[in-house]
Amino acid sequence: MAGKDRQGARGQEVLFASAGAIAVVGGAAYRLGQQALAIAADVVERAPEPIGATAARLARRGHAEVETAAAKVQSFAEQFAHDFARHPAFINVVTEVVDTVLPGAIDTALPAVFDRLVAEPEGVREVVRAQSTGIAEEVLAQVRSAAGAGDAAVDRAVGRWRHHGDRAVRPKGELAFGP
Amino acid sequence: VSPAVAVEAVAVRTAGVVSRGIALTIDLVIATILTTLGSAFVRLFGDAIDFDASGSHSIAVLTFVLALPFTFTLYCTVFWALIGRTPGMVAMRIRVVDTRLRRPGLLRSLVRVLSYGVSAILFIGFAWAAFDRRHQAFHDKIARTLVVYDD
Repeated sequence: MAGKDRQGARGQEVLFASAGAIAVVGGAAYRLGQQALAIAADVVERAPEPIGATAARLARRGHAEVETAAAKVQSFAEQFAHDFARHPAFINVVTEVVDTVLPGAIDTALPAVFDRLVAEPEGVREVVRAQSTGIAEEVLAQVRSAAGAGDAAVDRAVGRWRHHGDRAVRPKGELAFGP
Repeated sequence: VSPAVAVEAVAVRTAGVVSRGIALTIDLVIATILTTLGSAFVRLFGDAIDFDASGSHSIAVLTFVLALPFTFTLYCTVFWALIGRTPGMVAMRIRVVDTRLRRPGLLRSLVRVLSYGVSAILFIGFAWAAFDRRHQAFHDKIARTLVVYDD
């Protein structure tokens, strides 16, 4: 009976010891998990910065590549146009067009233009007249303005020279006449 | 003037010497061109009727010198009497009027242009317009005219 009690007590001790060990290990595991989560969060939090920097670096490189490509294309187009415009074949075509097509076109178009001008000369005359009149009017207006200023300047100079008291009453040149 | 009669005074501004001088210069240029054209026409006419003008260069010059004042006199008289202003005055927007502010007649216009000769003596008569209260030159005093702005 006493042996059974002793065995029972030892079994309880083992049980309690095991439970304590499990509790310690569990607590340690919990703390370890908490720390691991904190570290992971920190890592995740800091992760976008190097990714953004990489992306920005890639964007700059892409932009530079695009600019380089555009410059190359432009240079190629200019060189192509330059070479094409001086290519003997192109010059021959242009010469042919100028020698054959253009005289015919001029011969056809010019009489029509002259006929139109002869038929409706008033429009051309009006344009020329308006242009000439506008220029002449502008010049004359400037001359008149300058002459008016000159008249006033001469009057002031003469007025100062003469010190005529009457001029203060009525400005020189301004006269009143009855009907 | 009776107080019962309303008299509306008309204020006019007489033109200064600069505007008048420019107008006169324009008119002289036009008259010279007209005289030149007239001389050329007379010469062509003389050639057409086989008039021998060889060796008469001095006579041609003398004719031109005499023709210019005549042309200018005719030019000014006709324009003043007809419209009260010459083309030069039209350009400067001034006009000739008598002391009643009316367009001068033919006789007054003729007197005025002939009086240019008086004013032209050392140009004193022209310069007098700068000192005169009404901007009247000697020829304006003689012909009793004024030069006013076309306001």
